[in-house]
Formats: sequence, C-alpha cells, structure tokens
Amino acid sequence: MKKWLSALLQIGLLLGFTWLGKGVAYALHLPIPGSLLGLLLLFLCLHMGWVRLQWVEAGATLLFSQMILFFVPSLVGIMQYPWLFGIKGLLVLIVVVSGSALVMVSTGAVAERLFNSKRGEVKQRDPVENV
Amino acid sequence: MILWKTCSFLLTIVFYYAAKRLNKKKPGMLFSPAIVAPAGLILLLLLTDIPYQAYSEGTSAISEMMGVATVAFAVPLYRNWSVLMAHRRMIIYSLATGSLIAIVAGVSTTMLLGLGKAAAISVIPRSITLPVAVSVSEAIGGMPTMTAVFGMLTSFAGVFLAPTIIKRLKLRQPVSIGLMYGMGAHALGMVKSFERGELEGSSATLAVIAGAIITVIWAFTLMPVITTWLAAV
Repeated sequence: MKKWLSALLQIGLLLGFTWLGKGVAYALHLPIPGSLLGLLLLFLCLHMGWVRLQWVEAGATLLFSQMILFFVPSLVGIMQYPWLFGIKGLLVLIVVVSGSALVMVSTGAVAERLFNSKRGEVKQRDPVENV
Repeated sequence: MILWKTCSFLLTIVFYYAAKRLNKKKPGMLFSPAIVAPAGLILLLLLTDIPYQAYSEGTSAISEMMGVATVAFAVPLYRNWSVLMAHRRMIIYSLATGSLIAIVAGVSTTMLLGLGKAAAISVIPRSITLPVAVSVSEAIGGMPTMTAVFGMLTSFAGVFLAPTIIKRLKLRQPVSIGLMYGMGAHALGMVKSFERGELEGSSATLAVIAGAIITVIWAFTLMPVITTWLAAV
C-alpha cells in the first residue's frame, strides 16, 4: 500500500515536470512539444543531481506498465477517418507497411553492423556467459 | 453531458483492462490491448451514435497521461546514458539512414500509388513521434490530420513487423533492437521494446528523440528537391 502511495506521489512529480515543459514551450513559443521538453528538463535535473533517481523511479515504472491505456483514446480517433476502411485506406496501408519495413530493416541492419565492427575494439558482454 | 464524459472515461478503462485480460489468455499481436480496446470502443461509439468529439473530451485526462509517460522516459534514459554514449556513432548513423529512407520511401510510394501531392508531403514526418510530426507537417505544408493518420498506422505497422524483422536480420544487440523499434514505431515501439528490456527501451527512447531531430533536418534539407520533383510529376 505504501509502495503504491509513493509511486502515485512520484507520478505527481512527473506531472509537475510535464506542466513545466508545456509552460516553458508555450512561454518561449518553441515548436517542440512540451512533453519532450519536460523529458529533457527531468533528464537534466537527474544528471545534475537536483532530482534523485529514487524520487521518480517507481512512478515511472508504474506509468510504463499501463502505457497502452494512455494511447487508447487517440487510437479510437481513427474512426474520424472512415475512408481509411476503403480502397484509399488500403493504398495508405501499403505505403505505411512497405515504408516501415524498409525503415526498420535499414536502421536495424546498420546498427547491428556497426556494433559488430566495433567488437574487435571493445570487449562486449556475451549473453551466453551471463546465463 | 457530464454523465457521458464520465462514462467514456470509465468505459475506456474497463475496455482496456478487459482487453489486457484477454491478451493474457490469447497472446499475440492481434489480441493486443492496443487493438482490441480501441476496436471495441469504436464499435460501441458507432452503435450508440456518440460522436468522437464527445468521447475525446471525456477521455482527455487519459490522453494527457501520454505526456507524463513521455517525461518518465527520462528515467531509463538517465540510467542507461553511459551505455548509449558508448554507442553514439552507431546510433547516429543508423538513425540518419532510417529517417532518410523513411522520407524517400514515403514520398515515392505515395506518388507511385497516385495518392496525390498533399498526401506525399504529409507522409514525410510520419516516422516521428506524433506530437512533433503534426507540427512539422504544418511547417512543410502538409495536412496535419493526414500526418496523424500516417503516424498512427506507422506505429502499428512497426510493432507488427518488428518480431519478424528481428528474427530475419538476426538482431542480437539490445541497442540495435531498441533503435529499430524507436525509429520504426515511435511511441508504441517505446512501450514494446521496454517489454524486452531496459536497454532496449532506453535505446528506443533515444531513437524517438534523436530520430525526430534528424528527420526534421533531413526534411528541411530535402524539401527543395522534393518540391521540384513533385512539381515536375
């Protein structure tokens, strides 16, 4: 029970950073969304030691475990675009799926290749050894 | 009116937990709460003739939490910062490649399929996290709602494709898996890669942030080329 309460309090602190980010973005007319700015601010505070990791850790974990819930209302928003369920929607789907496949294959392949080319210089942990 | 709002709020939570329980019994992408819960709610709204506007107003508090969750990603990012910095070269190169391909593939396939120039411009920022994508779309002369649709579908497609790609490419490094998830499926990808592990999740977070910045740079440098090309077609 106490654990829950402290996690909820920590979410309150995270909420504070969200509002701070939004406020700063609004006040300075920045084109960046406030939540991303809040992320950067919190990261900076953690880095400088102004905010301790233990103050936000449990709250963050609780939020992540229920994250899909927060997306549900925006996903319901797809119903505003009924044409998506017709032929045009099918074409859009082809564009999106083929593009996503290309993007993910290239990102993953480049990352993995560069990682492997580094293997000689840096000793990496072997996943089998850790088991 | 207030009754409606409380109802849509409570119904969203009920549908989400019901979908989550269903997913435990029937694992698999199609039974993910990210599909079952919205599909059920859409059906209910259509059947009861409630406009989306009313539903969206009632559930704004839930959507608001999306921003708070975004801020919370500072925590894993901070915890894994040193590992990520050790791989900075690989991170920048892979994200630069991925975002360039996102733009080129998006614009060319949209034009090829005859969806029109407006759609071709709106598709450019689709691989960035939704709130940023919408403002970029406005800046380069696209249609923000169209971009939002492209972005949402991208998130789904990415999460759907990821397991196959990981298997086919034999991706083993948590950082590359995370980067792929973040670049290909932004917000939903962050959630999914987090389920795989802490380092995967932080790499995905970094990919979402850095990927957004890199895509914006690509978009603005390539815009003159794209507009001349679109004008010639």
